[in-house]
Order: sequence, then structure tokens, then C-alpha cells
Amino acid sequence: MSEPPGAARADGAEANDGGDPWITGVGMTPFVGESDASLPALLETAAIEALDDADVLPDDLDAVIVGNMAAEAFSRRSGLANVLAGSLGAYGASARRVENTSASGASAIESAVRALRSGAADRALVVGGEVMSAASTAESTEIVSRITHSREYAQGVTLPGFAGLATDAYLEGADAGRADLARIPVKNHRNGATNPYAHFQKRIAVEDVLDSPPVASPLRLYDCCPTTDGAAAVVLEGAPASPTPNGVRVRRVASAVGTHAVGDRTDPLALESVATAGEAAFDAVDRSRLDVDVLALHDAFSVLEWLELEALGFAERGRAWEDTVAGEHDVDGALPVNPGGGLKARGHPLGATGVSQVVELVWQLRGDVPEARAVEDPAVGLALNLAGFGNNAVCTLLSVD
Amino acid sequence: MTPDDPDDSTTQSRDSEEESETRQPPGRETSGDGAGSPAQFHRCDRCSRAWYYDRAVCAGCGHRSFSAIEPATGTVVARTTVHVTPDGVPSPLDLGLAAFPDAGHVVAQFGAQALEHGDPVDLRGAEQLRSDADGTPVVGPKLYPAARTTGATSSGDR
Repeated sequence: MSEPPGAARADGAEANDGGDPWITGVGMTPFVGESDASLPALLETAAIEALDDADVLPDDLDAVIVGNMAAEAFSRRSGLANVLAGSLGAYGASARRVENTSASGASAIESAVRALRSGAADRALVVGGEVMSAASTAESTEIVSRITHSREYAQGVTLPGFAGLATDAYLEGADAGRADLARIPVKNHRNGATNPYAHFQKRIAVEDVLDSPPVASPLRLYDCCPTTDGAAAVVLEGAPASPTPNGVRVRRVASAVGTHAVGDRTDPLALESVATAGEAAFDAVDRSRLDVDVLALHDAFSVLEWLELEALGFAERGRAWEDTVAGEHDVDGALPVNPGGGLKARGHPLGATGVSQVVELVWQLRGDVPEARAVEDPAVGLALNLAGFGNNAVCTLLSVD
Repeated sequence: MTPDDPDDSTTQSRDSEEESETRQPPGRETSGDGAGSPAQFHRCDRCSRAWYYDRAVCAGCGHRSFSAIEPATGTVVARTTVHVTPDGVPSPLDLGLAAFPDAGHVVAQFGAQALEHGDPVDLRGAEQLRSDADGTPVVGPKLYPAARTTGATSSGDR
């Protein structure tokens, strides 16, 4: 039979017409378990911080794009981009919302980058946000489980359920043990402890992970990201005449869809959407995996950090765990992963996450982070935002020049 | 062939399949002892690729008409017990990921007992799996130990 199902097409690899856009401003609200502010208010706060950072006025914006997954279900709101643009006074700008489940934020950035590359816009504001606290954990799990295939939904399968199965299969196939897996949340909590924007700012030990309540065996509570309220924003400007002193260059954003049903994958541990998006991003630029200095990965569940590292080509199949255990993914390691705390410690306000990953990388590339979580002189950063359990993936490559 | 499934045509539309799989009224449940009919997979009428999850277009060749098949016995490749489930879903919930020869993978609830890696399984029956958000029972197949081909317990469920 012909090629396996999966990521069949990657976008973003086409011609580079207008040149690489630059991120000239970033902002985010603290990520918290329960915010007093409404979703529109959080979007505004992040947006104004990013606009001020970029020294751009709302009136100068050509495009306002909001990344959000489920405002109707969580916040009983819709029309978010018009609400935000109206409040800012960005009249005349093209405004819309982009939804790609838990990768809505990165997809919103991808849309802005395309508009800038094509010349359709010169200045764009992207804001990702979600308020999840109005729902109980069971309700949130139900809302998120609605993204699954109808035959998966019928079985009661949720995202933690997929993660439990993938973890079981990974640990069965590799030499890694349960305690090795715990090194991922331990690392990400250590990084989050020095991130004032993080949902959890406390260190945990391997024993804390192993002693936490089971969620989807062998996964435990401390392997799973929390539900979070928050927003994050970036301002992008089309190829400036000269590099801006505080700017970060967007080398490429590439995304790819994979199978909808997880069971349709030829190899349940291969995130083909991630592999395809990553290849498309690297193929389009004069940078290789060896040039990457810092990674922001989508660790909604611990095992995803390993599966993504392997799909992106940073480790061989079944071997990423060895690098985690060896400390190579620590902030001072050879390949720092999630110095901002990742989804596990920074939190996971669905539509905000992809934007917050890019905000963290911009801070790292500018050197705007506390020393405890500062990667040493990074020049190239990679963000990977995952939709569902790999239904779709968005890979972003940034560089200082 | 399957008394529980009114849609036994060889070429199924996505909508009718979904309706029959997930929204059957509760009166159609079987006893839950694993004796129900095998679940039906799809096989492409052109390239013979086979899979479980309803879709509009064959992932192998782009063809759009499929036939219903019953795959050969599968194998458990992963298992989990989920402790945090949405309303309407049993907790704890034992789920398995099974590989079926030339017919892809399936994630489904274990029937009578949770099984181990490598155990042979069949996907069968039409039991209540959960309730929908409006309380409607959702009915479908579960993973059961495969009937032994060399043993004396072949019950001839065809």
C-alpha cells in the first residue's frame, strides 16, 4: 500500500516573498489557576504590554489576531478579536480569531507571519488567551476531549488517557523507568520556580512526582499540566530596513496536520505532525538542528517532551530520555528544554500557550530573564506547539539576527 | 450479520455510521460478557487498506467507498487506567491500545478484565461505554480476550 496516513502536507515552506518578520515586542499576564480578570481583560493586558514593548500604537496595526480554543465553552464569549481591537482602538485593522485547539496560539502567530511575508500587513498584534477556571477539572477534561474522533470519544478517551497509553508504550519499549520520566516535571518545575509569570513557582522532587495521585497510569498528577488562566502577546513587524536592537527574527513558522484518530497512526509513538512541521521549518532556513540553542516544547504530559524531541530529530527513537537523565535538557545543559517551566510549571491556558512559548524564547534570545533560568548566549530558539495529542503541530524557529 | 447494527450495508456514509455507533438507544445493549458480535472495521474497495476510525476518504489511495470487515485478532500494545474522567465516563477506566493485523490500531475500553501487553484481543459487543453530555447512553464495542483458536471453547459466534 502507499505511504502511511499522517502528516501529509506541511505549510510554510514556500517562497520567502517579503522577508522574515521580526518580533519587536512581547507581553504576557501572569499565568494563574484562577484569575479575577475576564478573558477580554487578560487579552488587553498582554496586548498593551507587547505594544508598549514594541513602541507601536494600536492605530499603527494592520492586523489583530487572537488565538483561542474554546471561549464559548469556558467563558461564554465569542468575537474576541473584535472585542480586543475595539478596546485598543485598532480601527481599520484586519481582525480575526484563529482556532487550532491547544495550538491556537502558534497558529495565530503563523497567520500573522504569513500576512507580513505576503505584504498584506506591516504590523500585526497576536494575542493568545484562555480562561479555564470557570470549569471544574472534570468539565475542562470533557471540553478538551471533544476534539477527539467520535469513536474515541465514545470510549471515554481523554487527552490524559492517550498520554497514559503513550507513556506505557514508551516505558515498555525503552529502558527508561518511571523515575526517569519524573525528571521532566522536576526540571520544568525548577525552571518555573524562577519565572514570575509561571502558574507553579515551586521546586518538586522525583519522590513528589512518584507519590502524587495517579491520573492515567503510569502517569501521575505531577506529569500533567494544570488548567490555567492567562494571555500572552507578540507584536510582529515586516522586514525592517535594519535589525531592531530589541527585535527577534522569525525565521519560519511551519505547521502540519496528522491523523485525527490516534489509533490511525502506523506507529502510535511517532508524532508525524511534529516531524513534518519540524522538517518544513528547517528545510526553509539556513539553520540545522545543531544550531538550536534553546527549545520550548509542548509538555502537556511528561512523555510528550520525549516524543517531540524524537520527532523533531533531536534524539533517536526511544533515546531522548537518556539526555533528560544526563541533564542535557537543563538550563545549563547542552540542549536546554523549557527554561520557562514548560506547560507543566508555567501553566497551559490553551490558546495562550503557543504565544507564551514564543514570548519565553524572545526573552531568552534578548537575555531578558533571571540568571537562574537564562540559557547562555542563545542565538536560535525553537518552539513546538501541539494540537490535541498530535493532531496538528506548529513549529517556530527564531533567531537573534 | 450484526443484529445490533442496523447499518449493515457495505458502503457506509460517515453520518449513518456515527449515528449507529454512538447514539443507539439503551435497549440495544448486550450482556457485556464479550459474546457480542465483532466490531466492524472499514476496508477500502480499491486498495484494500483497512482501518477502524470512520473517515470520508481512504488515507492510502483517496478512494471513497469502503466495505465492512471483521479484522483478525489483535494484540494489546499499551494499557492505562484513567482515574480522572469526565462526567458520564466510568472511573477508574481501563483502556487499551490494540494493534490489529493490517487494520491499524484501536483505543478502547477493556471488557471483563484489563489485559497485559501482548495478549490477543478482539473488539466486540455493543455495550454502554459512557453517557453523553445530555445523559444519552453511548454504545460501542470493547476489547475482550480473543477466543482461543486451539482450545475447545470456540463458541462459533458467526
